[in-house]
Amino acid sequence: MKYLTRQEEIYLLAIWRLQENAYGVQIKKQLADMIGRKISYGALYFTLEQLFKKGYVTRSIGEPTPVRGGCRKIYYNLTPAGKGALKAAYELQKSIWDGISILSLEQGKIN
Amino acid sequence: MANSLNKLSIAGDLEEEFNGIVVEKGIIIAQIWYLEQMLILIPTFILSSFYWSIQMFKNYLKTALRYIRRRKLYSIINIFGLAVAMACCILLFSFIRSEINYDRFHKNIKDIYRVLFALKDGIHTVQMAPLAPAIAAEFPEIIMSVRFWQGSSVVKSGDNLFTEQILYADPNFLSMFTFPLLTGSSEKALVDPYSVILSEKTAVKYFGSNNPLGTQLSIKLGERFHNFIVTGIAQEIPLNSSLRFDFLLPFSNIIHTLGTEYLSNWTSLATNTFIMLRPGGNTTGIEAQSHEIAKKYFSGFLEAFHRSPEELRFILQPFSEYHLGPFGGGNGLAPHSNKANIYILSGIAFIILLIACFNFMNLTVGLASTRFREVGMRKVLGAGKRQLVRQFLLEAIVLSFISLLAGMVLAVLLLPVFNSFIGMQLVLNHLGDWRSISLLAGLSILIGITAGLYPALIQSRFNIVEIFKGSQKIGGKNLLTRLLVIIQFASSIFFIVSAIFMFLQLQFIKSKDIGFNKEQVVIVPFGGGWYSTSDKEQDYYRYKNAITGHARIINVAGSSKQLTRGLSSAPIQYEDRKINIYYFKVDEDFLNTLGLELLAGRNFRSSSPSDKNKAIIVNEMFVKKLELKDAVGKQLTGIRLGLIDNPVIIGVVKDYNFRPLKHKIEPAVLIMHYRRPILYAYIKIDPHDVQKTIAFLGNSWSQMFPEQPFNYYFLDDIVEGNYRNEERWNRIIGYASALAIMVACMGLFGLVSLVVAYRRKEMGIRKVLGATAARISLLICRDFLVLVGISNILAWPAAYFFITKWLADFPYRIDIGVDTFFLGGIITLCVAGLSISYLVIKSARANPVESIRYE
Repeated sequence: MKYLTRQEEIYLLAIWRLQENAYGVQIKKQLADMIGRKISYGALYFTLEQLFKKGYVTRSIGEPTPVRGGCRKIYYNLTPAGKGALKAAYELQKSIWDGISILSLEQGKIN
Repeated sequence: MANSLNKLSIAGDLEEEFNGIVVEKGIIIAQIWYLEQMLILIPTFILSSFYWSIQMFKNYLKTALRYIRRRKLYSIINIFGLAVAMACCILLFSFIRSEINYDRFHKNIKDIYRVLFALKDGIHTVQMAPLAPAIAAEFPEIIMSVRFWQGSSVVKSGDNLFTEQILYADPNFLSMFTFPLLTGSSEKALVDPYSVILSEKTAVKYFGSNNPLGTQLSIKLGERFHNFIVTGIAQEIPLNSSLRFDFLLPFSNIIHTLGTEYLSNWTSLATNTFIMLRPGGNTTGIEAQSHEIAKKYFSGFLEAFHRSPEELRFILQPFSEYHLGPFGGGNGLAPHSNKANIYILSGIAFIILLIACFNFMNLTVGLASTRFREVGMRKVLGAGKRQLVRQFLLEAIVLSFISLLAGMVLAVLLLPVFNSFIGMQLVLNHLGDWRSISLLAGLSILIGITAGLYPALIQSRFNIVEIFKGSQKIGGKNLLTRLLVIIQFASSIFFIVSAIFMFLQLQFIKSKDIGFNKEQVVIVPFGGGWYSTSDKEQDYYRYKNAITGHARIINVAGSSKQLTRGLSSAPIQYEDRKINIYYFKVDEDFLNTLGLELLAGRNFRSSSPSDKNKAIIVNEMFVKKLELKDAVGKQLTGIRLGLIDNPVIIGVVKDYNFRPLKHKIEPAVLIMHYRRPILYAYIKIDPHDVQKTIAFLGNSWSQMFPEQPFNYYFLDDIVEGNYRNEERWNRIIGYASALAIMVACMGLFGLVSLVVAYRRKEMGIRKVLGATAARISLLICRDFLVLVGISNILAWPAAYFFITKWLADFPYRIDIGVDTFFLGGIITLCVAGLSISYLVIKSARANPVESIRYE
């Protein structure tokens, strides 16, 4: 069973949150909000490329706009495979955290 | 990841975000942010571009190796040809490296200079003994001066006597020059005048594995043996050193050999003089003072030669420039070399390289049509012309590297042969040195690109549609291919013709009548040199008396020099004519022993006192140059020759070549009364029982001179030995021509095999229509052999030019006959024809059914 890595999971969720607006600048901002750390464009696009190769996202190319100096954007969307992977990740999360509360972790006793 | 799509997107993202930040935080912060982002992105782009380049590179590499394996025959031809060329280059590099690095191992080399001075008549490379300390005292820039001189002596060890070369040098010789001692201290080893330093080899020769430090050796200096203590053993001296020694004695000992006054004598020039300047010092100050120094110290010398101090100029030659420089040396300094050697060998290596590269071009272009489909597919899949060119260049470079490896192996195998050519002992150990490796790798890449560029361009130029339609042809193959083949064979013919001419010239020289009889003459040297006193002659006369009676000894004569090897010359003026003459001290038996023919007058008679004091014998050239009528009996008034004033000519001898045949015959004088003693016996022996006669000579010698080893050699060996250099070059050119023609023929073989494959169907059809195998063979051959024929036209003028230049050095030369050119051309034609004969015959006899069959 191929699990999503943490990084892939985060990226896919970011894309999901952004819905139609999932392109370079926005994904970068979203990730910075979600994680709390900044990502460089190089790392960002590298990971997006990997996701694309694995079939979790599709790409579509947008129109050039003046604010981008005449360059096009690349929009990313989740594929069914991507959505399925996210669901599996969520199930996995639930099952491994099942029954454990954060409080118990802080207090040092499991119950 | 960094493909064009993503790159553009990133650019747009950066732009968008930039604009956002400008609004939020101001333009300056935005610009800083932008710069920062760019910097962060650099590694990504580099790595990703590398990634794909590496991927493509792996693919090209795979393709290249597959292709080489598929086309085994052509790859082998190319690899072998390039390997031969590379081996030549590697050997050439070794040679050049050795020559350029001559003497560089001395730590002080930058500050060591050799002292020479120039007068109108020439450059003097050796000086008077007192000069060195004198100028060292004059100039504070000179921190040390060293003198040395080399002569041969007899060394006694136990009961054994050996003739050895002895180097006399000032004690600070080891401080100026870097010759580390294995045992003994460099500072103290030469302090005691009766100390000697041995080379490692000599120590082993005399003392085996024992430590000789402190033991005594007896060395004969002058006429007496002196005892010396071994105070040091020198490490083996590097091969490329102009200074070598087996025995090193302090310079003060020279008084025993050259006389006590030698150290203060300002008129006798024999000593090598070297100075070392302060680091960073220069020589201009000293050279500018030439006249002052001359005035102060050289007055006696200059007077004797009728020169004024203003005519004298000191030259301080950096020692590092000696070996390849213009001024020769002797008396302890090894002979220098000639830069021309480097140029000539480089030229030869370059030509062979050219031939190999042309092979590659021709064969690759010839095979281009077989790769149409591959190129077409690649283009369809998106390859641009640039990528294709890159691919083919890489294939050429891969081939080049493989050839480099093969070439290195070949170079190691050919090293002994090469060493025998250039008379050196090169070792290829520097191949492990990273500088050499990178140089060779670079050369390999360069060759790959040069040879591969044209074929790469040709192969990538194809039109996709035409390829798959089948109508793509390779155009332009014919003209360039033919031109390259012509150049290859023209070079080969040039070498062959030159080699033949050189061979003929050498044969001519060796068999030419030199005017005297060199066969069956044994030469026995009596030791000593120009510095020996006339008493030395008594040795000769005693020996002569002892051996003359022997049945097998026909005649014995004596001279102060070895014929064709030693010379004395002087300018003389008679009436109003000035000529330069060569004079030789001989005894009365000289003419008979050497078979010199008297044309007029008579020989010397030792019984006649007037002969001894007045008589000279001259050669024809002497008479001609001085325009003497009735030479015999003429007294040359106003001339002093040797110890004779106003000599009388008693005979005229037929001209003979007392110098190697590279020189014309000059005026010569044979004289009996001369201060230099007879140092060589010329013994004419009967051709039978030579060994026994030699044994007799040896025994007589040992009985008479127990303290001196018996040495002998044959006159004809000496005479022939004078041409060793020319013979060496002859051999080099000979081998070069063999290599050139071999590589060229391999290329031809490859080309013809391509043509044969290409025209298989045509041949089949011709056969069916009735052509004989012979006619078909001719058809294929004709084109190529015509090319070889045309190469002659290019080669002959070049060979003619080269040979006339080479022959110009020889006053006695052969005629440049047309037949030799034809010989060279025919040989090449035959070899070329032979190399393709197998292919041609095989294809001509092939069964037409096989070739026309349509599967």
